[in-house]
Amino acid sequence: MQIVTETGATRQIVRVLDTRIDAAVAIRFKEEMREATASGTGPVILDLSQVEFLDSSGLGAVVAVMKFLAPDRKLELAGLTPTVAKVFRLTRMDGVFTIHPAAPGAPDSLRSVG
Amino acid sequence: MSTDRPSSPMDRPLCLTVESDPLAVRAALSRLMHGLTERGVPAAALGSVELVLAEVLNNVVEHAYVRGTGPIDIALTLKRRQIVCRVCDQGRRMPGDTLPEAAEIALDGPIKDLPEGGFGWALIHKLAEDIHYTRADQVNRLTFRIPIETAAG
Repeated sequence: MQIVTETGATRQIVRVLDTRIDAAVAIRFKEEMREATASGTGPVILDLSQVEFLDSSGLGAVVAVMKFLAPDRKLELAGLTPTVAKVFRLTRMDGVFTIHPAAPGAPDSLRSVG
Repeated sequence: MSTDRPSSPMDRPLCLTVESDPLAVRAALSRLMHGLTERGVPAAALGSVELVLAEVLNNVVEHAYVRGTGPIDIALTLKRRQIVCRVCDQGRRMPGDTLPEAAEIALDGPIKDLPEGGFGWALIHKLAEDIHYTRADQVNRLTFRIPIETAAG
């Protein structure tokens, strides 16, 4: 599981570099998110633009992250790819999270091609 | 590969036996998606297909084989605009020998009460049709159909 984090004055951006958050990595994802957000303040924006596949275990892990950040910090999502967006829509979790179309200030190297 | 019979690659079922382990499931999904692509299933439709199969296979790993590991047999057949699926395992039977319902998940409470699980069957019921479960000769057999979406949605 590879994630990178950018801590700003008002918010923290966490970018997932893996293409999958599934049953095989859900627990590790939660642990890495806990570590990545241990210091820092303000909302956490989770950039999922590289994630092509997220299953119910992955969804559960994202919800777990939102729960351990609350109530002090808010978890927001950004850059959902079509299949990932579908999982949030079908489970109605798209109404629970603030979802941004794209992550703010994604470096060129992380921007999707085309 | 023979091209004498134009329908043969499409009709040939895609069969795979996978060990009940999350990483093995991930590898199996990749092979199945590759096989479906070869059989002409459009890339835009694969997301839902992979999602349903992932949920079904993860359920087998986490529940049927909760006390150990064992084989999972997968067979996919393309029929018209749908994928007919059969998944068999030799693990524990489903509670009450019946298919779990898609429970309505309560999302309107406080954040601390949000569920972290129970989404799997909700997704399967939303994306698959004709879901049947039988238990015979110590084998769990789940059959279902996944429509091939022609447009993104």
